[in-house]
Amino acid sequence: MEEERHAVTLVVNGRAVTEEVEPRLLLSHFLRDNLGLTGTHVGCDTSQCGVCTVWVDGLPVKSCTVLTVQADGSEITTVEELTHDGVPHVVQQAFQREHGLQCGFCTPGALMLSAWHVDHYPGASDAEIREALDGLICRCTGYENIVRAVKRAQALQEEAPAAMAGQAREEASS
Amino acid sequence: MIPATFKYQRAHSVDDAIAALAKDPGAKLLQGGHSLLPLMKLRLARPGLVVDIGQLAELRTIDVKADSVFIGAAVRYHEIADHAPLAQVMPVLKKTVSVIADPQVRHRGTIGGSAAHADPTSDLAAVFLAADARFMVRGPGGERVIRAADWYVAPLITALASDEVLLGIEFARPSPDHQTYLKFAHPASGYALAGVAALVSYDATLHVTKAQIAVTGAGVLPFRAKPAENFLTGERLTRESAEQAAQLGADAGEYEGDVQYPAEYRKNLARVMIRRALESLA
Repeated sequence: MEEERHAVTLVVNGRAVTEEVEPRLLLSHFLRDNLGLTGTHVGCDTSQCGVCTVWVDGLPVKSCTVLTVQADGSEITTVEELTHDGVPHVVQQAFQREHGLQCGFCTPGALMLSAWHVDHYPGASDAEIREALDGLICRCTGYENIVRAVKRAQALQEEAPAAMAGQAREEASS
Repeated sequence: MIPATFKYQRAHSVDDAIAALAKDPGAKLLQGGHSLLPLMKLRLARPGLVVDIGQLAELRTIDVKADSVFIGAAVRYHEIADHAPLAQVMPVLKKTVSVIADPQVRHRGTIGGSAAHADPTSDLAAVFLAADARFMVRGPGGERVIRAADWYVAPLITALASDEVLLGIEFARPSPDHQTYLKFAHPASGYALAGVAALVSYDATLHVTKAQIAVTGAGVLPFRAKPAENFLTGERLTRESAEQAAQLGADAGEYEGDVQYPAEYRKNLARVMIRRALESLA
């Protein structure tokens, strides 16, 4: 079959990107190979492990199971976007403090799921956090510390939502 | 894993999609892609043309009317879970979509995609059957309605013709007062080894006036547990009657064993889950 290409325009981390892509190009590959955003990892590549989770139009989805052409016109947020001006997101700080990662392979997905959940369900219980992380497989089985990290991120967010940037800067440099 | 090459067309309307399907008998419709894309990545499916209908506004409505509920085929699971009026009139839908796969999948997967894919372990299949869903479809010759009882032809095969588009799914109102979906999930995959949708109405003395029960996952195909419904109607809903109904209901299925689970085990799970679902409603 002759190769067919489609022009797509996506807003990735706030920046509009237009490229011609094959219909079969997965969003995960587009982000990594075309845009060089290798923070998004590819784990199982079978829609199960959630390591490739990014936000599409503000919702966490598995980018290995989205065609780039399907995402034409969408806004994509990847793990690279969590840190602003060298200041880590509250969830990133919490993962550091609570040792929420071991090998780090699933961490991009864990961060994108956790950051979304902390933003949308700031008072979630342990059980709700676990349910929210259902679509993430950590091969180190480090779930306890990931849940602790999400709890700490909730607390950090609640303590000082307005002054977060300043506090974050301090924590990052401490 | 990368799918084999295919042509892609984003449909601008349902009629546009129907015209595209007419051109290529091997074409497949795409919505959220969470059933089709995994198959294409494994190259178990190799459609020459993929017609994307996931963004069509006409397929994305939820309409709660006085005498019925309509859910457009491209409505996503999380949209069903978050729709308060829908949860009020048919709570079983929210219960069911909330236990499908995981949050990321629920942000993409659609009710119509699940129906058309017709995986015999589909959670929603039990609800469609138990609640007498009506599948509204449109093809080159116009629109028709397919009853849930006729929808599931074989594993992964439905009564939807290859040139038809599923528009949405309709349920009659009012549906029975007490509703649940309960599943025994495979510990690794999360798929239903046995999932039971039970919709029951009863009077002040717990005498059942209406019972609609269906089972997914356990059998070769999802099935309606009619003998259980017939037995329960007029009975008081108790542990004993639930157990008897469950036995009769499980008998209504056709089971096949596999490497992990013998047919008798699957049937037993169907029985246990029917009983638990009914007990939870009493």
